Amino acid sequence: MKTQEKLRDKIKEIIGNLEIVIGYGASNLPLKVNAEFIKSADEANDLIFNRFCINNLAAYAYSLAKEVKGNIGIVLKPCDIKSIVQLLSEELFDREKIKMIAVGCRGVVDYKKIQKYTGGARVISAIIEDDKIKVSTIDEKFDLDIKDYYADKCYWCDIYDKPSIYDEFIESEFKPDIEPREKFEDIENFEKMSTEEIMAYWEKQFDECIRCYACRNVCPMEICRERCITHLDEPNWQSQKINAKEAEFFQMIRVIHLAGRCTECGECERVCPANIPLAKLMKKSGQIIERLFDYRAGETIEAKPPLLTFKDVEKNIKEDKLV
Amino acid sequence: MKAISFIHKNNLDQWLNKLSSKFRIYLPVQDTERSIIDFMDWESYKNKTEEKDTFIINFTEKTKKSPKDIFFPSTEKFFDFEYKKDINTPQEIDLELKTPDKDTGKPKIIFGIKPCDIAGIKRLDKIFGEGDKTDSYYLDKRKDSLFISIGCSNPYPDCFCTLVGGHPFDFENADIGMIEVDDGYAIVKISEEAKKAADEVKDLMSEKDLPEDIKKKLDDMEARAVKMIQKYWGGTDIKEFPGLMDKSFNSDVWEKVTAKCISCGACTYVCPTCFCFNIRDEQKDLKGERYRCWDYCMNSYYTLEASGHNPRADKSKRYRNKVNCKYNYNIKRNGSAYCIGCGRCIEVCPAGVDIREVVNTVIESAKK
Repeated sequence: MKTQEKLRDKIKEIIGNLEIVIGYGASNLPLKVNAEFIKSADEANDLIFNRFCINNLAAYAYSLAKEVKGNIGIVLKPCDIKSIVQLLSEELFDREKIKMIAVGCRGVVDYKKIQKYTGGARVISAIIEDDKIKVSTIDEKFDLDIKDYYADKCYWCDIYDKPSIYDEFIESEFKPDIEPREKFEDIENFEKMSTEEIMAYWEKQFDECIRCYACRNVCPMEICRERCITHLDEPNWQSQKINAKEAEFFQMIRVIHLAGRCTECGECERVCPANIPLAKLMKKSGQIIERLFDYRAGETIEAKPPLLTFKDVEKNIKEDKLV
Repeated sequence: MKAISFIHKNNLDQWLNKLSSKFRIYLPVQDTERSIIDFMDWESYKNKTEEKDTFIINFTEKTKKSPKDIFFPSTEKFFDFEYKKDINTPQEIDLELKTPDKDTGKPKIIFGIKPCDIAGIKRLDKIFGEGDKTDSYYLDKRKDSLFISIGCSNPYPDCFCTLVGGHPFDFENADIGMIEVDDGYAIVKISEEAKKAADEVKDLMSEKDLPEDIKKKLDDMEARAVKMIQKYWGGTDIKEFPGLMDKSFNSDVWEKVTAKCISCGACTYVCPTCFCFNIRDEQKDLKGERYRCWDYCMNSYYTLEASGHNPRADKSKRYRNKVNCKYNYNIKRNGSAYCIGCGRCIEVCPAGVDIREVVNTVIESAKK
């Protein structure tokens, strides 16, 4: 049986005990899927699961856990479960509140990579046939090898069929075809540029920012959306002006805020209307946290996020060498 | 539709160069490196292409953002201010204001603008330019500008202009209307205002009737438009929307259709007709500036009152207001839906909210 059918059957079986289930639904646009909120077993047939299911539905976990009285079922890929684990390790809701319906995954297609391939030409149809994605734009048709178009995170994922915790688990029908890549290779290459070049690069990127806050609101870990310091007048930390300087400042706030909390799901970069490579920033902060604290966000509920706790002596921080 | 004249593709650069001596031209430019298409002015485009070959003019694709920021920039300074104090007379405070120079440059041409985007700017003209209060900041920039429009022969899966009274070849508000044909553009309309702009290039243009296949394409478009109306909204006339929206105001359908919305501002910032802005004073020590910037109604702070009360604290109420603003209040106030069916909000939405489906669900529930 296909993953999608198994998933629907499982949800029909358990939805009686849940107030709401969030899964993936079909989009009217090619390459994309939507979040679908269902309340009854009949609606389970609206749910889908395929290799376009890149969205991290853990984005809804925190706000729904506060709003909804009963329990919530969420369809999660093993990488998405890291976000829930992180929220649990910060004790933001009870373990029972969210029923994790884990679906084994063999990589999801990153539509921004396809858009990059077409140079920004809009894709009007896309279907996956075996290991090819058949894509058409208005002027052209392409057959793309799926193995080159997975989301970045898929190339170093080692938990695709073994989520750390879950309530239900549905195995994937897809065969693994991902050649693993070195996780920090792109960051290391990027850092070969001079500081001036790096600053110029980011200034150019942030110049395109429209300050829509999609990056903030889609992030499962950014639970302060409605209490964000960017909306404060007194003190006025952040100007409301839309320009590169302010965008960069806002992103720096995000990076610091998420250091040691970000599970690198890449949603911020996926949703950015200006195509700013935000995941690069998050990955770098993850790398620093890993080196300093031997900590990776979202691995276990028991481990305390390093910036939410305090130790007298940190093993990897030599205080006399800080200055 | 009948062709008045014709311009060959190879002559386009020459035309743009000639026009640029009298006009400031904006046109859709694709940045292939960043995979983004946006309006850019002709001079910057030329400078950029000298540096790199990653920028190309693209009249087919829809731009990521609407062209509204040419007339209504996302951030716009009103004035700088400075408090002046003298140590000998501390009670007396002088205030000095400095306004930036007015935009007195050349009139603008938006070249290659699609009929839907013209409709968007026409909606903004009503907001900023009509009634007893007008907005001089907008009008100064908008003055004497011309639209050289290219008909939209390839709508996308998220396009729905025909549902809101538009048409892919609607040149009513265009100054020059063009349709892409094999080796160039057939010119089907030249307004009085644009005669001068067109006259300058008479020698580049030649008369040529619309080819048969283009006429057929136009017919196909019509057929597609009718099909789209059937797919969404059950053929309901836009004039009936205010009544239906009023009826569904307290319906719980709003919570259902907005469940997946994440309350970001992407949809409103790319929207050609959203016009809300905020005016702010930002001051450091004795100096500061007053500016306006775009605001978005999907943000809970948008309606937060000083008392702490928020009439639209839930996202369903905020989204309801947005849809009503576009499909109810502005139809009553200004006679047309404040949505032009460009579908940018659908494309950009991180959660996949499709305004066509939202409106459909709402009006269907009201009919019951």
